[in-house]
Amino acid sequence: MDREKTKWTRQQEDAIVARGRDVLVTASAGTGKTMVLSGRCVGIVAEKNTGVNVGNVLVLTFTDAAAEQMRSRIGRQLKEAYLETKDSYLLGQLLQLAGADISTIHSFCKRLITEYFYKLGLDPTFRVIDEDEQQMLKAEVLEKTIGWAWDQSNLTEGL
Amino acid sequence: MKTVRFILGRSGTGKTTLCIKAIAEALSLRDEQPLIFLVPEQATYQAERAILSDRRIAGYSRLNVLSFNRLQFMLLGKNTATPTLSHSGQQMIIHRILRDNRDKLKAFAASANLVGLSSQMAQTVAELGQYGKTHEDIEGLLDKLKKNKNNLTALKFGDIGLVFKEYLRFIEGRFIDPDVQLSQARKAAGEAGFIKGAKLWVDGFAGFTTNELAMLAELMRTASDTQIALCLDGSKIDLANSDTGVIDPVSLFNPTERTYAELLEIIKKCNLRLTEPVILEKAVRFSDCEPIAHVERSLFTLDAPKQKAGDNVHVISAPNERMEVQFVARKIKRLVKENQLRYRDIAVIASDIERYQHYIAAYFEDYGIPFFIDKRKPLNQHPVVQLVCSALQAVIGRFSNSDIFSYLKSDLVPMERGDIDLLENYCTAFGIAGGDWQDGKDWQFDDEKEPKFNEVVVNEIRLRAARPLLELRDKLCPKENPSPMLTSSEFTKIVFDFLDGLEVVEKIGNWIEQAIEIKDYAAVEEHRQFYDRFVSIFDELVEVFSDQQMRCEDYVAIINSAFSQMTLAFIPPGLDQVLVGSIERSRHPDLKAVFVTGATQKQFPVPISYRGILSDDDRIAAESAEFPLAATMEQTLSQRQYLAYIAFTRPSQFLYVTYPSADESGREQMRSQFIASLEGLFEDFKEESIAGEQIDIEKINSRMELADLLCRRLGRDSAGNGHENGQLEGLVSDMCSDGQLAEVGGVVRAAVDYKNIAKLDDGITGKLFGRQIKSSTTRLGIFAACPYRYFAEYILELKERKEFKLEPLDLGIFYHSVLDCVLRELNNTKKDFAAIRDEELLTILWEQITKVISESTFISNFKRHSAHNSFIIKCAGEVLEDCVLAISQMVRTGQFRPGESEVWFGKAGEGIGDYKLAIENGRILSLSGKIDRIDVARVNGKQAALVFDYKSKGKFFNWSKFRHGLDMQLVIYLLAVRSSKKYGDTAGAFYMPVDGGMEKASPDELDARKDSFSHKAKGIFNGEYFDGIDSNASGWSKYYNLFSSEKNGAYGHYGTSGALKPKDFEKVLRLGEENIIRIGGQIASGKIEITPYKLGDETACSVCKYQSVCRFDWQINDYNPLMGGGKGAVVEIKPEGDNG
Repeated sequence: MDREKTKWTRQQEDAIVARGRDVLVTASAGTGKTMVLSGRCVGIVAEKNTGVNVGNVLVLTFTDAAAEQMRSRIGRQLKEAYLETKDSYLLGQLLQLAGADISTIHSFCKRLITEYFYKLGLDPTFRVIDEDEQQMLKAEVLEKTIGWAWDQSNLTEGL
Repeated sequence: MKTVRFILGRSGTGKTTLCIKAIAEALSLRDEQPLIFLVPEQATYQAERAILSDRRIAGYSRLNVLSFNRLQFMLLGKNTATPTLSHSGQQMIIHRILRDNRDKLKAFAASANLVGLSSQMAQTVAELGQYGKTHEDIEGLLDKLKKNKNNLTALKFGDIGLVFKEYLRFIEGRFIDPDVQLSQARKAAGEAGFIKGAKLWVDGFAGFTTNELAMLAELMRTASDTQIALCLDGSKIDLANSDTGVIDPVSLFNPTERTYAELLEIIKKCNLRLTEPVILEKAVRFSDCEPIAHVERSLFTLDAPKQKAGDNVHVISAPNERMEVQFVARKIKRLVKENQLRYRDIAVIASDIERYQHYIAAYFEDYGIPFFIDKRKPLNQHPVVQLVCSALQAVIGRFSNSDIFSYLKSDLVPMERGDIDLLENYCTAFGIAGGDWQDGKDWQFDDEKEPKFNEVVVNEIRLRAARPLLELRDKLCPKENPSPMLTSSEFTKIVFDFLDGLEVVEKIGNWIEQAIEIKDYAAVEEHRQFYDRFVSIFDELVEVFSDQQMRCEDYVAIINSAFSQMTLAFIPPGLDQVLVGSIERSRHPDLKAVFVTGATQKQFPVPISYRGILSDDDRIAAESAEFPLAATMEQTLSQRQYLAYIAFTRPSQFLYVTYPSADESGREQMRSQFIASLEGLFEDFKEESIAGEQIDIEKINSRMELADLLCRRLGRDSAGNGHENGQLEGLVSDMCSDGQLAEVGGVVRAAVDYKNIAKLDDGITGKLFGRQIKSSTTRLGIFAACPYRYFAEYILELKERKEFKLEPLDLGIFYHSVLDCVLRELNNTKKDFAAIRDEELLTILWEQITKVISESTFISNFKRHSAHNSFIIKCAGEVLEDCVLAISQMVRTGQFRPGESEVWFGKAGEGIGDYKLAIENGRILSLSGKIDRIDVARVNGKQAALVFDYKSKGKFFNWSKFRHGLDMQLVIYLLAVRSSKKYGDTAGAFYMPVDGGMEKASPDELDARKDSFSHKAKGIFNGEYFDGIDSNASGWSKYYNLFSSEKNGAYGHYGTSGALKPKDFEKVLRLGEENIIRIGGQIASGKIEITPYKLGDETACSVCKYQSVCRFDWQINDYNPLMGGGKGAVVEIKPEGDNG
């Protein structure tokens, strides 16, 4: 396997190494935003003095596929770093990566709700309904509501 | 002195073989020393077989092959005084405790009543048991947590501690907790005869729970010498280290190294003598397979040298799970055929067994691969569960139809399926709802005049069906007290009385007998185990909730949860089967080929889940407060390397790692990171993709695949390769005459030659039709559209189930009835449509509407059913208002006056008499129909009639459809009227819309549009009468499709107006007659072909409901193509001078 280190542009490098503040990266398509993001993540985790490990990083994406790709990419970069430095700490991080919070916003919210169900008075074995069930439920509710509306004398005229 | 010795070695170095050899050796000595082989539960069978396969051993009695479960059973025996609690029983107790202590809970109060919380709390309580925690331990933990101000964790553990304490108090002396049993068994171990002074071997474990370690300690102290095998690299660890804290967290063997340290600590504490460990270094399993040996050696090492993978290691990417499993099945067949493997040499590892088991069961059965899936089977689909749950749900849920029919269709109710279906059809047709089942009145929803059902029979069936449910309701929620509180014994008794009333137990007995007769022993086991389990759930319910009172809904929720956890113990394994299971459970040491399936990032080697009451933060906090429970997330993730290593080193010859690149919803999935580690060990190693792989004829593995391939290549819908197809055809013929393949050959032949043809047998036609055939416009039209549809609708008389809706057809019937009544009323009272005032007309209209509604049971019921339905009827009335006003406008503009309405022809004793035509073979065709309205006038001294047909929405005369006989309604009416000779000349026929429909306009246009007429009638007429039809037209008529001009009289815009010159009018009528005779003749000849018409883009199939009967398939059937044309195709249209 090749171990060519990725060559960053100056701007990409700036984004990756900036520390101590929030960073906003804007770039058009195909300019390597994802690489920069994963590179930054790996950079922060590898630096031991940041005290950040893969378990307390949150990465939010728009699709599930993007989340898994991100995880895969971070994994590869961690591995590269590990092979270079032979630091077993990085190997540990690589193993912990599987449980890292890299997901869509929906998945992350679902995880929060699952973990804190008791604060919301939810049943911990709740399930998220899918689109088809949603449609059926909506149709049922609409029918019931129309039926209910007919029984309300103040609405019948409008209806 | 008691000794302990470790057997250490990496995967495949022969630890288990060593143990088994030693055991066999010991057995062959003729002494009395007891022997024990302690292994994980799922390995006991394999272990016994391995020992028995040693030639020296004929059988044994002083050896015990045990798991911790079996050990515990042997030590405690069956204690009938205090029953063992099942997990559902545990959950019930926890549920009760949560309810009773709701106000004391600090973290979980909000969710306390929810059944889901009790199931998870029960799991946590079980965990506490497995890790040997006492209430005092929890108190200690809480003290430590408060110091660190870990508020949330402290609150949670506070609640958990409370529940745990109450739980232990509750079961004290009444039940035995299954997880605590082991620690009770431990106390008996020191005295057990089969353990004292025994030789003990321990093999196959990577780790132990607290309770298991304590038991092990006791065993080591009681036995004479112990040997423990652990999978780790003996040369790389500090053999004297017993501190788990210093173990390298990223070491590959972290889990087993920790276990080693824990055991060492125990050995020191118990003062046992540790002898020199056996360190095995040679990976003998892979001695014939260098690639896998390389995997074992170098999987997670840095800078490993690359080697060749040969044919031994493969990584396969499949498009989806289904194809992944198909690949595995085919590969297994190959391995067995070509590499002389036996089925039991092969295993399939799947981490998501839930999903894969269905594909595996289906494909492995298809390919004839015997297999054993190591998983318990859920029992909650059993008919008794369906019966009880739907009956209870019906009672507490107000008798909804779906619950009632679910209950009836469980096959445990003493009613015929046919009766249930009839009842269901009735309920669907009349919208029977909950209240109707319960009010005790007879159902009389059917139309009195034309009933579709025999209501006496229906009501009788209904009573039989509902009686047990009504009795159940009276007991569970009687009228006087709709939501009573019951004790669990009361509830249970009611349920079992209900079951007794239906003789459910006898039925199950019958099923068991039937299963025995056909030798379906799996079914026998299932029924037996199910009923025991079912009864014990209620036993536990009574035990746990004894004197408490709860509502019926609460009991239902609790038993539903218990039902969902009912599982069947596994079917005993056969001798030669492929083993399917998860990584930990596949501990068979002699596997030659292993398929690691579903190796995605999320699932392999173990899926990550976040459920459970204790979050990872909680566990970490507990761990640092020296309260260790099950592994934290970090520890679990660290162990993944080890699990992947174990999975990859199972086989001695072939390793296949497969994964689906998309899940079942098509979402992309990433492969596990460990696959990259595997790939990195080999040079030129690439992942193989089976997407788009065509199964070649040389690679066929089974008859099913052969048949599949032949059908696909030779089917009429495939492009095919002429030469190759010739060869394949030859193959099929040969197959048909070969003894073994004849069956498959026959199937392929029949499939390829299949033609979808419908034809009546000779002789039947004569019996279907007599000398006189009755028909109508609709029938002729349907036959012209598709002869098969005619056959299905009028000869077979197939009907769809009627539903309780106001269909467009019903609305149409309503409109017709009302308009008919209005006209009759006007005629009876000698009022003239043209002269009557609007207000009076509307008054009469509403009188007739009320009359029609009250006379129709269906519409009255419909209206009464809901306010919304009432509104629909009211809207229909408003439509009729507009319609009658439009009619009066139309009448006023011409000379024709409405004469009769709803005029029959072809119906004996009514109307204007018969209309008959002679068709071929000496037969007579008699047409019947009902003309909505006939208007009469005297024009130029001649009597003439104008025919009207009401349509709900506007319709125009479609020349193409008329020409081909698809729609000849207006022409047939004209012919019938003419044939009756009662009205003089036929002037024309029109469609008139009842519902003018809606138009769009902007507010400014409203005034201009005030006078627009939305009920324009369209049809055909004899141009000589144009003045009588609309005397005021100039240019296009406002009311008819009639164009009047000075220059051309009635014949301007000839191509688009409805006017016909007299000889053209005759031509049209003649064409109509010819069509009737032609189509009638075809019907009489018994033609029933499946040839739906195709006119442009329109086909007969779009409105036909018999597609599932004819199974028309455009790839093997043909449409009947028709040409379009418009008016010009029937009569000549000369180009005109002005805007023609």
